[in-house]
Amino acid sequence: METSGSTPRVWITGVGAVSCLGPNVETLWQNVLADRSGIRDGLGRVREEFLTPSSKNRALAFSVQAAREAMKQAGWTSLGPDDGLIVATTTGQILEWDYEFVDFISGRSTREKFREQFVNQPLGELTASIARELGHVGPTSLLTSACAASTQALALGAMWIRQGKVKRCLIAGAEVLCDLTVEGFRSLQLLSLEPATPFDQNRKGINLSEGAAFVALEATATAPLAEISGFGFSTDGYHMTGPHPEGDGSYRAMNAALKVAGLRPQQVTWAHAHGTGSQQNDLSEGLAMSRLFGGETPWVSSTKWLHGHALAASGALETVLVVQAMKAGRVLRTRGLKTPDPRIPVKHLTEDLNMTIDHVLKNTLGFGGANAAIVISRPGARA
Amino acid sequence: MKVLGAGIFLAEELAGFQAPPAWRKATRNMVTATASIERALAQAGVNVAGDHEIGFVLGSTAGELETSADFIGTWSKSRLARPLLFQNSLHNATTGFASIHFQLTGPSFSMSALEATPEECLGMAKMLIAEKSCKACIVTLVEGHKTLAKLMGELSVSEGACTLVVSSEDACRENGWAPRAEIADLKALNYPRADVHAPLVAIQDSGFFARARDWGAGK
Repeated sequence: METSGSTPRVWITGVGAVSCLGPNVETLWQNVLADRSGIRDGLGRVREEFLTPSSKNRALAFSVQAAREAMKQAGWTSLGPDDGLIVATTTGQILEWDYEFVDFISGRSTREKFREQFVNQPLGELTASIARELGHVGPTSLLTSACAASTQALALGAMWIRQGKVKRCLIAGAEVLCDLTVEGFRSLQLLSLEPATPFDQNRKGINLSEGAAFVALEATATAPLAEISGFGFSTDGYHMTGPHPEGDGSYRAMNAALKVAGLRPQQVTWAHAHGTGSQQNDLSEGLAMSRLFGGETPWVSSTKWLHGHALAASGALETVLVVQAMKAGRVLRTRGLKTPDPRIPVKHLTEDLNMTIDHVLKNTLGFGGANAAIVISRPGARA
Repeated sequence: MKVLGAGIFLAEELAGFQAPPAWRKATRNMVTATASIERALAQAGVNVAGDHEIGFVLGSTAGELETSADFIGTWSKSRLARPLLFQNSLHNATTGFASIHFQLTGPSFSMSALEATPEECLGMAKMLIAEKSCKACIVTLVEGHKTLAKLMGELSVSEGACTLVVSSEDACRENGWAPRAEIADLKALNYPRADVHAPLVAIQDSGFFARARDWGAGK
């Protein structure tokens, strides 16, 4: 499978994930099928036994493990100068300096020690470290657009392939749990102590989680898992932490993604929502979807009850789940949803549904008003 | 890639700068970035408010590190988590702030790629324009780290912001925009590699800053 017209197509050939649901994709998927949530005390922490100790840097440890899994499935034994690496993170390096910083300002450490640690603070250091571990010397980039970042990274990887910058590209989302995000989200009163219940009338908030998800993209593939057939972006320009109340920006990002894919809204089998479980996100996103699909939405669901909200890594992690679901022919329902919020006019599933999944619209919204959506298509579903 | 406008704003200018009242909760990064964009847009003569075809890419090696450190410091000393500090501490907070100020509704991206941050941001703008996700793109580079510099005794590290408004030849023709300059070599706009291994990066060391300063001054 190669090109459509003159623009190369973008195939997903491998996926890898380390999450609160397990050290690899197979364990993640088995936990999904068993309806097991990875959330404990409101957070989705990666258990230490899931990790192969190779690094002191937690985000790097997650990333190397997930990268190797994705590369193995794609059949890549190494990375060459024509291969790309795009990482999405917001907290990837914070554990490398925050404790030393607190010790220093509390008088428990010295300026020299702090300075030594602080050299590691740029987020770009995570990309450089992953590249070093994988022996990668090709083009790299790093996106930090909050919760939309790894969906943007998947789209950027698709653009790199479509425009001939690379032939293959590894896309990563990686986050760690830290005081900044846990206490920060708590201060915004957005956290739930129980597993999140997206779209529910009684939803109480989000669960922060950590981990890494990798997706291998290629311009040519003999047996691809899926295709990234469309992508779209927008900005709300409305509020620093809240989405546009009618989901105006999110609507435009999803609409643009369908346009790039050359699809009509009616051709979408499943809309995999950002669905964080916060009051504002779910309402805004639901209204955007209702508008996009003209009131008659496809199946809409969120999987955050299972794995929590991995912030910048969420788009990549959920793309891994979509690929697994597409392979299994199983549309996943919103776990945790009991009483749908009547203000959110979308079509919910009460049970997982076994059917051929042709096109999935994967949507994300981020702080700062950044919206991104991609279309993930089954190989053979597009001409 | 064609340059329609350029602008810089150094942290030294903050002392005499009359910020609008709506900016009272803004970080120094937000103020310097937004002010540099204002200058670049004035030179470019492009109306951006509510135009879904105007992109925005913001790059920073340190991002809102200073506010992150402020949040963590306050939390560790008093167990007080301040929502304002948290929302301003996110790496893409300045992107959000500027997009609200200018009513930017097209694609927006926040990036950080060590010494190659300028090249990656302009490369992103080029991709977005080629994919017709936007017709012109605001590309801003910002660094702010006064408090941390003080903690480390590195007071001479420069901070501020610089912006280029870029587009393609075709889009310039279609929209009647007059380019002021052309960027041929994106790599030349990067930071010197050695700087990235210092604790803080001086924005004036980037080729991006030098070009934005010269083009913004009409050179």
